[in-house]
Amino acid sequence: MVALRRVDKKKFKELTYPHLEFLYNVALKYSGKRYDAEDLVQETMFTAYSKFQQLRDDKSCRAWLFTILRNHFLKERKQLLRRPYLDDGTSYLDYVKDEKSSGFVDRLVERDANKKLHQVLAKISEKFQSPLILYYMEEMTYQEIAEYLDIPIGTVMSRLARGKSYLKKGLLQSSSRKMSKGKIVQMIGLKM
Amino acid sequence: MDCTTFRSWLENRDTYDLSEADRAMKHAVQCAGCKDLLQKDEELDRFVAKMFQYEMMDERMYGKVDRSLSEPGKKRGVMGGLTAAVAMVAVVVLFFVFMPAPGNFSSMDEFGRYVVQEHRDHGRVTPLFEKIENVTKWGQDNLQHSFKLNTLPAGNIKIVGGRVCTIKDCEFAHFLYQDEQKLYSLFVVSGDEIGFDLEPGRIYSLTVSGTELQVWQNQQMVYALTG
Repeated sequence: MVALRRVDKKKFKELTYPHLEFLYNVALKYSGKRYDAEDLVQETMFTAYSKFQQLRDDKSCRAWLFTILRNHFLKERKQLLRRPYLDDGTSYLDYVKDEKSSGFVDRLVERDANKKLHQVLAKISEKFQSPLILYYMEEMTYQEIAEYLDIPIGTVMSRLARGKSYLKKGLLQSSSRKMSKGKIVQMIGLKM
Repeated sequence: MDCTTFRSWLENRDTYDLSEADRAMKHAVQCAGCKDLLQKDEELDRFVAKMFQYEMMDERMYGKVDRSLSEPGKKRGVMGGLTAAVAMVAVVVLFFVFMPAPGNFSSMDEFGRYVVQEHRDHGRVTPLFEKIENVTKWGQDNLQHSFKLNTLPAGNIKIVGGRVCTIKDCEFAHFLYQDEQKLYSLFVVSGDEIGFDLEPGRIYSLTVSGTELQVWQNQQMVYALTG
């Protein structure tokens, strides 16, 4: 029995290591920090190794690893103080409209875009983060995202719409410094 | 379709079906304002997609994972559980006996390692750095703490730019300086984030993996210069 249960390390590595870069990039988008992303990947891989027998279909390895990583992230995030996402109820299109000319995204690039993406993304609830990551980074369809996250396709669509709106507004606000500091605004808690 | 409905469609495109997209496009052709909004939103969307692109993973990650898989300390089991429980009790006891200082960095060595690593990763002229006219004003605009830059230990260096970075959950101001020969990074962080004491007015010099670092404290802020 013991021999049967022993994990085939070589097979584990063959199956999982090609997805390491994917896991790292998802972790980076979740956490926003390189060190945290590396920790998250290591924890994920350790869990995957210890539960390798639970992987029924080799073809679903990537989705299986993603689920483990996501669970680790959610567990860690729950331990942190929940910071509410502050939304003033305005549309991100208001900020787009204010921009004087096309090509305005160049100004976003000038202002440390990746750091801003991480900062804005970190403030968004995981239920919006995950669809955004799979949509933009993996270029998945609504159906594929629904299967990955095991949620209805309609939920994927609405979460994507809201997630995109939060993300774009956050980026535009941080770029144009139109943050409404101190204003009492509608609170959208981080519900996980 | 009117402009209000168009805006609603644009902001919630993912939830509408394709027939609505056709109507929206027809409206955009006739309405210059909505057309402009659509173009800008599409540009913004492409920009967001670009930011989500894969970032390079440190090749050493494979080795780190390898090591974590073969770490005997992480293996589960009755003996492992007992050992872990005993270790946990010991840690709790030690924690209360030797209460650690508050802060994210337990020692200057740890602080130095992180700062030097950040300098190695980002201490070069890139679009990450904003041009700075007035350091004090930039600090007020970008950081929660105000600070003043007095005389730097290394003279004759000129500022290239600044950025805000996060190291171990602490917000640092990262300034890039340059002299005729090389680039220097100056990191500024609130003293509250440091878990070790610094003698006021003293400049500490240390070497981290071959890189020299100077650390000092001025009022509430801690400064680290490396290059």
